Amino acid sequence: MYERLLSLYPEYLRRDYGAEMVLVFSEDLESARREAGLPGVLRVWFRELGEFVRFAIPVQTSSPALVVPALTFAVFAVMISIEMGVALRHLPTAATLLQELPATVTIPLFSTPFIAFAVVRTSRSRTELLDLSQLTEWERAECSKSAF
Amino acid sequence: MIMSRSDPPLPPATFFILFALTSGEKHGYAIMRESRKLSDDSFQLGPATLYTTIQRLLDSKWIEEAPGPEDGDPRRRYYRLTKQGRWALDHEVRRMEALVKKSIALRLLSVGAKS
Repeated sequence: MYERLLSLYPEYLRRDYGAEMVLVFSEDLESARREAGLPGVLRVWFRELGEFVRFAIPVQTSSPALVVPALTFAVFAVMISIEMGVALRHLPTAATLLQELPATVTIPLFSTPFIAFAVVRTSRSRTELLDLSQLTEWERAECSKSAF
Repeated sequence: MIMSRSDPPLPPATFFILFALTSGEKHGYAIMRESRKLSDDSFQLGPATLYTTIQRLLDSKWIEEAPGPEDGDPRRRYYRLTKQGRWALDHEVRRMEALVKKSIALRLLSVGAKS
């Protein structure tokens, strides 16, 4: 299972240290099971969850192919919810609500992709302004390979 | 990488990996175990943190790869401290020692007090 999770980690880490990471994790898990039973096993997996959040999620969410649709859907859902909430207050029956639905949906449907794309581009621009001088040569080389 | 008095403290992962290697060359899992032991279980290194930090230390030439035993697992790589790494660790330990002395002088910490 750890090998499967590892496939979501940064490519440079998997390429250079993947085999060692799997070995280290399996040894640590086995040792925890022997020494502390289930609490030990849970401790190892909980620590792994922290590493997953720190290393894998930034890699996955940096992909525009994932971020733009996800963000589009999220913004669309929020706008629809707000509009439906407003409509329910002012439209007395379900029938009138259904009549208004096309208009309610149209504006969010066409505007959210642009909003989502603008947010992604803005966040990428901010990332580029980060001080890269603190990274090692290896990390800078890897970052430049994965540039948008 | 040359350290000076104005350099910030070493991150915990860096410090404990260097500390773990003072007793000789080790592979990744042994470094992880030794770090946990040295920190009295208060600091846990995961594989990703461990190897990201190892790569940084290799780039900084504070550690280097060591040959390891001939009959060892080929998947394992062994690492050892370099002179620069030993110096950096020594610098950090002296910084901590100075802090402890200041804490005692300011009566934040009693000499011989048990936690």
